[in-house]
Amino acid sequence: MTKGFLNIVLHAHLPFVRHPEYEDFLEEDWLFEAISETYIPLLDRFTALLRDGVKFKITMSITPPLSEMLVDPLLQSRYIKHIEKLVELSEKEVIRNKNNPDFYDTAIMYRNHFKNALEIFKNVYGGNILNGFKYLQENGVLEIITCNATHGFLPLINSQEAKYAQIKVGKENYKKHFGRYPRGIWLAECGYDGEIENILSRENLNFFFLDTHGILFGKPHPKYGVFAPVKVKENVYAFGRDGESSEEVWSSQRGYPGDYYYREFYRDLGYDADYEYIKPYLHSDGVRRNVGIKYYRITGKVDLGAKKPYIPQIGLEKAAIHAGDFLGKRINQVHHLNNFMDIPPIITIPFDAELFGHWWFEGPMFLEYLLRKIHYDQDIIETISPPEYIEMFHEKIEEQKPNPSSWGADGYNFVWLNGKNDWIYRHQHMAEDRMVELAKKFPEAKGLLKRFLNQCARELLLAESSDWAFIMTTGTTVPYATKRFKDHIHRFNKLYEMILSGNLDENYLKDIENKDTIFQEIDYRVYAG
Amino acid sequence: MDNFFSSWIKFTKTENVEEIKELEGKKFPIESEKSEIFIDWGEEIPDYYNKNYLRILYQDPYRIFVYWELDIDTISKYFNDMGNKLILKMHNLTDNITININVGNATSWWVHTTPDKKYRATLVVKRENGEEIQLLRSKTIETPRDCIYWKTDEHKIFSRENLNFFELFTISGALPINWDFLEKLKNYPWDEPLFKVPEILLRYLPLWLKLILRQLNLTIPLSFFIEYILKVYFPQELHSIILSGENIDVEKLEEILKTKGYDFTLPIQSSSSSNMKK
Repeated sequence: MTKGFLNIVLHAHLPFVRHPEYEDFLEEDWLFEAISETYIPLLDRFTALLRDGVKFKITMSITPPLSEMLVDPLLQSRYIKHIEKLVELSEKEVIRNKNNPDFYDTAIMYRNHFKNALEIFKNVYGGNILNGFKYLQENGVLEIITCNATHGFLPLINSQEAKYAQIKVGKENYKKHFGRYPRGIWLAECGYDGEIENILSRENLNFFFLDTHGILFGKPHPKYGVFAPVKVKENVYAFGRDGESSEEVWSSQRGYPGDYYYREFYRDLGYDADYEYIKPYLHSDGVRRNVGIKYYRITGKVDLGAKKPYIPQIGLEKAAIHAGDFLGKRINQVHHLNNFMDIPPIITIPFDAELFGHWWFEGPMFLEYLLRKIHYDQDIIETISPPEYIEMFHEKIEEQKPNPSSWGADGYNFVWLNGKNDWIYRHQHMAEDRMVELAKKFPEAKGLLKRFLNQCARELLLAESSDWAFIMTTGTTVPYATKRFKDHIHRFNKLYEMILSGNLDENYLKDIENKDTIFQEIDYRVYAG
Repeated sequence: MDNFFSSWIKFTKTENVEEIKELEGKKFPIESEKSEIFIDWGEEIPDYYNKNYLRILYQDPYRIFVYWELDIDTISKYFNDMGNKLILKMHNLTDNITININVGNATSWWVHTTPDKKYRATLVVKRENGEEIQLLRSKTIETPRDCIYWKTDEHKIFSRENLNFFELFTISGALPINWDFLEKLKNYPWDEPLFKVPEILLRYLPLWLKLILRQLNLTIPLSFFIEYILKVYFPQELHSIILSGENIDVEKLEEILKTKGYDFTLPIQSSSSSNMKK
């Protein structure tokens, strides 16, 4: 008999990166790598489980920018070019390693991996893999939810109108892609400031997720800890992350992904190969970068040069062992919790989807093994989606006002507000105020003016992406994040001035419309409140 | 029991910040080589909007970021006179405390705060004669809590009905006690029969002490405070409670506690101090 539930949440997000103005643009690789390494492997594994009759349920947020990129014809055709080159390279690698037993199996694995990605992308889904996720949802194994429009970090968005627009645009965009409204929402970075439940209730978004302390430090203290949701408003429930199980997977030190037999992320053929050999597979600037073929395993705390060859079969076995270990721990956890709860606990485990496959290469297989073991090996735990749990136990769920929090480092707003990025908010908040001003001033705009106003809304939303502030903090690709933030604010301000002066330069608008194509369905009046 | 629980102590946010940052950073790969000489930092954005505004954002329970701008008219009206100073006033509305910061020509400021309080900022001009004129007022915000919200009747804290709560909280990975709790512990009527106390306290305090030390960055003397109580009141169970394995110097502990504002003398000290000093 089922004694407890597992609520696995995969949050798939990438910022909107699309540069038609360049032939070749480095940051578009984020999407391409995620498609080959995460989205297709997850689709592939989930589809296999469905085909085999394995009963499972996964909640997945696919953010609006990601959906918009996945259906974009330009990015789709660029992805096909990208993956075709990788197939070509991986075929050369099979030949090159023919007499090298250390690497031959791995070379074959990559060739199959990339060929499979190309086949699924091009021939199974006709370039639009969103259809694959949609299919899984329609078959009852995925609960796809939306996210606020551009993954804006809501606690640092100033005006209520701008917060509302983030949520409303995200909801409408979901409908465009999935044919119905979402039942729940992933608040970007689990950012919760105590001011949005009215909006969620009004928009009929029935559930969202918080980090552990969002629930634990809420008012009043939660009767069930994080092992049941809390009701924050009529028809709106918050689920808190279970710290224990999350850490087993997340932690790079103690977590499963750090196992010495798993594939090493940082030792890449892009750096190891002869330059002339690898050059055709690098970007046009010819700088050595990761190409996605990696022959080594983590090995231990050793220099990259001392890594040992990866053995695909052992990697898979490890994933199976870890899935078994994880399930065993969850069963113990549930048994223990049963002593203290009068309803079955729900263990909520949210992850960035890109952890699986991209960073933790064996991650999709871990998930598959876990779901198979849950289905075949035991009857203590079941996977469940939030609406199903709410439906079953809503009478026992207690009301609470959660504590403002996020799942970022330190648990609050630090990652998105510190000395490295505090300068952006002056500009973002000014643009929010100006957008609200425009929406109120022009309640019924038509034609060219309407296009200007809609583009203003797009530029503001793009500037609000939490990714820019995040990158400024982590220090990874700071110039690009800075450029993106400033470009969108600049474009917004220029459009705003043109609108107020009545001097509408259509050529300028067209250029921007062509670049920032996100949310073709947008209606600027969402900012009128 | 300790082994069992030790496997649950995983909610160590602060400890793992660097690790988490490192992991999160991997989503956007670090570029180790750059061939471009030209770096595109984006298009121009305004240095100044010529508006009046004052906004307040919390970073976490302990820090607030305040930023503002004064338009040209306001500046020329008040600051052509050299003697006038721009003062940022941070009002803790919950405790009715205001701090004044002479901000000079700055347009933003980071201010230390305390958790779970209402704050509002105002910008004022202070004239040489001491007169103050308010220019701008921010909206009111509330800093988040950094610990559990306690409103339970203090005499019920240690009751059996709270056992489930303590258990679920602890295995959720957080510390089900806070400053108020510690205050209550301090004021607990220790002379009354303690039969209700030991089970829960003995079960969780060692774990909570570890959590205090590891994740909340509280001062060590504070956790010593609890350890001290335990050692004084439950000397028989010392073997299961000792955290560090080190002996504690009672005089020194009292000295530390006094510097922290705890006027702390236990009536029972004389009878058990032999256990404390080995």
